[in-house]
Amino acid sequence: MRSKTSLFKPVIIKTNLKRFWPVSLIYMIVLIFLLPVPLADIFRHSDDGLGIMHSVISILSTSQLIIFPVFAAAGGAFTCFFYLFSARSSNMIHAFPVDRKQLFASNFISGLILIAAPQVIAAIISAPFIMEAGLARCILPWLLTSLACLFIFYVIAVLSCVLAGHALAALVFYAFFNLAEGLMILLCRAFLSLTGFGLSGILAVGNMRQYILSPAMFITGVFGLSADYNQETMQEFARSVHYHGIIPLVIYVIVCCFITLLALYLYKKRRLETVQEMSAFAFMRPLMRWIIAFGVGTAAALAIESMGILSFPRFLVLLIIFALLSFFAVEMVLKKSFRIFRKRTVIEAALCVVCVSALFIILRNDTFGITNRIPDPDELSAAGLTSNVLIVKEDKEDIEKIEDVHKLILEHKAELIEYNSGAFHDGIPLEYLAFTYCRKDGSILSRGYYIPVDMIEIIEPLNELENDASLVSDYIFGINSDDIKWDSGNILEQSLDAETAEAIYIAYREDLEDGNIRWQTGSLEPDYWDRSCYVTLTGMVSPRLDLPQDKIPGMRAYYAGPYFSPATTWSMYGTPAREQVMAQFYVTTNCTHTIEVLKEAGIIETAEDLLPRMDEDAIIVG
Amino acid sequence: MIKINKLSKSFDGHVVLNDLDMHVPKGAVYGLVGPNGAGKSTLMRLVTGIYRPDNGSIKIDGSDPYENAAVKERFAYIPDELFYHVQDNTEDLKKYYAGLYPGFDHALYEKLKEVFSSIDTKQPIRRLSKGMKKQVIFWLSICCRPELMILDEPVDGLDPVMRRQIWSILLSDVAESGMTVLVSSHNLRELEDVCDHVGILHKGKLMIEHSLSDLQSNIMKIQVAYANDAPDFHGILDVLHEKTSGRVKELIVRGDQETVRRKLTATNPLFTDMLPLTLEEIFIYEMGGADYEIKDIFI
Repeated sequence: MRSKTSLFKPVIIKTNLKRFWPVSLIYMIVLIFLLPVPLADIFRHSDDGLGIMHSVISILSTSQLIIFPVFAAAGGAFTCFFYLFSARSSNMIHAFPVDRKQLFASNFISGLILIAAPQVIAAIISAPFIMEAGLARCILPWLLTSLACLFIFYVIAVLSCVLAGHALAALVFYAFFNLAEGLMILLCRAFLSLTGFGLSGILAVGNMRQYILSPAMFITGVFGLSADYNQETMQEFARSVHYHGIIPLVIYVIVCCFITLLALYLYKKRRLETVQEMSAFAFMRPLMRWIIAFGVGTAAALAIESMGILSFPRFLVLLIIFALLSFFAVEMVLKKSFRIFRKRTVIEAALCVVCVSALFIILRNDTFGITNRIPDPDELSAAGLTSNVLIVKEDKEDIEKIEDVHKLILEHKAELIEYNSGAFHDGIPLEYLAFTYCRKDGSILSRGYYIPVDMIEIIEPLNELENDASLVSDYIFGINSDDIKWDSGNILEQSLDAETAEAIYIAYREDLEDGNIRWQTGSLEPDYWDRSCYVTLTGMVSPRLDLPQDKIPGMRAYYAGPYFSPATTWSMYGTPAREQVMAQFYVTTNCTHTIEVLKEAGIIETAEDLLPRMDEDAIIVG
Repeated sequence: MIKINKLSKSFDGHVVLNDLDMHVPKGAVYGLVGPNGAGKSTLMRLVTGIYRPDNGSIKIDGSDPYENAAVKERFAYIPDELFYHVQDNTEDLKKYYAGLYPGFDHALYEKLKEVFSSIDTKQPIRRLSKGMKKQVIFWLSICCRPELMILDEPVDGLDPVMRRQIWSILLSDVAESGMTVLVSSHNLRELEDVCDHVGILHKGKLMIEHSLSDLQSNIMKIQVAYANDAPDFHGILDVLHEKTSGRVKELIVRGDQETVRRKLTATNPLFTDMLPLTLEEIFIYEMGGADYEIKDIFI
């Protein structure tokens, strides 16, 4: 006696919307402060059409508009499916004449409406401002992509609710599904950075594209709105506005449609007697035990080991202890009992620990040859080498030169591995070399090595690379230093006017060209820098907005200089105005051109007037 | 109305119901009794389609209630722990019930307002007393016009007047429309007043299932005295309990009244007196036979 039923029950949707409207209200308020309010503010403070356009795009592309949906989606899903975590409500709702498909669909739709409605309303309220700025064509794509992000996170939140028997567990699942891959890789990288030859820098590389199975990390890192800020007319700028990461977003949406069907299937199979338990499905339990044993065990062992120099045997012992402890702790939570030490559980725990240990032994022994990997120059869009200066090269020939130094280091692996931790040996100073390779697919490979400064076979080719005048100039003054209008500075506690600052800049560039300054590692005479003084020049420059920030390694580090990120600058200052830049460098007694300028300006009488560096340090400390 | 066949259910290896058979006739008021942990609430949740049986079958008028909205439309379930949303008032909950049960009787709802006049339908249910909350759920469930009412500890928290009132409404529905009631309760005195069938559940099995009249005529209390020593009744009768007070023996005996009387007369007693047992007494003595008896503990 089965009657034909509709997909959902309107009364459930209506009731959910009536009951849980505060979720919408809260999200609505957040969106109003993220969109219409700042948009209105732009028009109050600016009447420059292009500037307004830039600001509108910067507001529409703010990462908060992707991050907040992560929370809003959880809010919508958790309120509408919260009955699954209470025996009283779960039992009663499932005793009503509604089948599970209808229940799931009704709650799914109502949760989605609760969070999508504020998004749509916020877009409608914001639309007049966006249209006024001349960016009407952005409204619909912006709304659709925002809704797509919301949908992706919402589906993950619903799946978390279906899989969990307890609200807290659902929250943990949601966080896990959003961050799992990233966290796991982070743990392995943390291990590798402490143990692998040349992998010390691996932890710092945060390319979100690698974490495709961690949607919150991937989407916030890859998806966004961008434009060509060098366009000079409003029309050209409006045409240049585009979304990046659309294809992954569409793929995510398609996958999430399938996940919705999976969630429905699981919902129909869900046993209501698992309410208040951590997982609603038996198959989740071993997964939880193993993942937490791996995650907690590794994190705890690394946390303790990172306090000193990592010893692999000690790490392994700690890993085994913490993995076992977390394995049994999870089992206690799952079973809600301290009596968990059964033969089967103990065998499983042992197996888990063996597998986790094996993984780290494989990583430790570099079974997959990770440490020997150098990318093919044809795969790369840029390569960077950081030591005394930052070397960034985009031409294949130059990239090969950087790779040659890297290859030399790998050839000396046997001698260099003992310096891997950065600890001093026999009082010989170590130089840290960081290699960064940007692949054309956007991924980044990073390696870092400590080299003793007396290892001539590596240091000499490095010095050759570093002592390129234009390279050092780019490093000190920025890649667009010719566009800088120097307006002030100081030297030897004296302020410089614009004319002198400009003259010092030109003279110092000439000193660089003439090889009067040596940027070298290791082979420097000990007192080379002793007779030098510190100079600061400040000026103004139009930003180099054409630089894609994820293509140039180290760009973020040079925010204060001409390498800066357009997104960061504009979100801070509102409009793409000219930026202040600052260059800091040492003038040595060899800098004949600069010394001449300083003499002409009456700052020094002879080269000897340059303060020894030691004395200057003493003054600073004093 | 309800036919349960070889029903089993266990949780994490703990068997709660084991090969249970049960039959609730149409139009019956079936009282399900049993000690704590006997599996009554689990059985109710299986009958209402909340849980899926591990083994066996449950049929409500020939259909499985699990994932069957059409069957669920025909019954109303009042659990021991009530469900409502914190913001809901009676009117909101009525709209919810009306949206879920196609047969919801709005006229009856208005009519019963007189009976439940103490309830402010605009007040949030969470602010009502426990008894009043129960009244609201009864009110709405009755208005669903169910063919089967499944009640788990239904009148717990209700005052005596309201208990009577609610039973009166339910029983008049039983009489008028042939509604079936399956009720689980520990209040055996009350069940005795309203039930016509009783099932005693113990350790996951239905120990006894009879109409109340059969049950009461099948177990009796006998007071008997003899001029000399009393015979050993265990060889003659199915004795559940035996107590001696002077020359008077008090026996709780199971069996057909006439047969018991005939066997007893054959032992030449000085006098015999046969008394009916209350449901509570039947429960206690039957449970005693199943190793669930009142222990004399001296502290």
